[in-house]
Amino acid sequence: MLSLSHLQVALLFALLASIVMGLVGRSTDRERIAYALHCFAYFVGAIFVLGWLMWLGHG
Amino acid sequence: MAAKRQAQRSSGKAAPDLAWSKCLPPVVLAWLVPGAGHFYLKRQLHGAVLLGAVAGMFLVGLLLNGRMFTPTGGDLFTTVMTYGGYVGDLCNGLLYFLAVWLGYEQEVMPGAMHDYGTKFLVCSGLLNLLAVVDTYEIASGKKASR
Repeated sequence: MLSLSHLQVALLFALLASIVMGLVGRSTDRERIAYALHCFAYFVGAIFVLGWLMWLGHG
Repeated sequence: MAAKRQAQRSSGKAAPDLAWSKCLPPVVLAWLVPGAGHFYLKRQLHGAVLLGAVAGMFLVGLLLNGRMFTPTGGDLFTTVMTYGGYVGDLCNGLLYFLAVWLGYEQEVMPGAMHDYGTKFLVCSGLLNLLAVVDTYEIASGKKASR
């Protein structure tokens, strides 16, 4: 069994999902790369914001 | 409809080719093997990237001991969750059938990593579904992919 931390798993998910979303979401390679990076940045941002919110929620 | 087609012909715009014989093989291939639809449509690089990403996510799901959903009735929440998860798993195509055929089975276990694994298995299916839709759009001429 893989032994990964929460952050590593979440980042791996963000990376793989961003690649696919970038590839199918746009028509040219330049747009695809930009959109994939855009999605990855949003995923990572959401991970940190929600992570902090959960930490603060737990007190 | 006929008037619209006539107008498209006269304006020089090509109507998207929706012939089933043209769209069905790449769509079925794309469902069965991630990226295969793009390979079929001569987009080898995109097919390889899709295969790596979707199969990679599925493999990580297996390595995290994720659980495959089995459709179960009961209350509304259970029904929606298990049937939805089952459809997500099915979208993995041959990866799912191969894993089940080879005897992969995972009990419900406590722990965040198992839960992550289950989500990875379902999400790899949903990402493959996006790839299937993309394949259809390219095959039917609705998307001018380069």
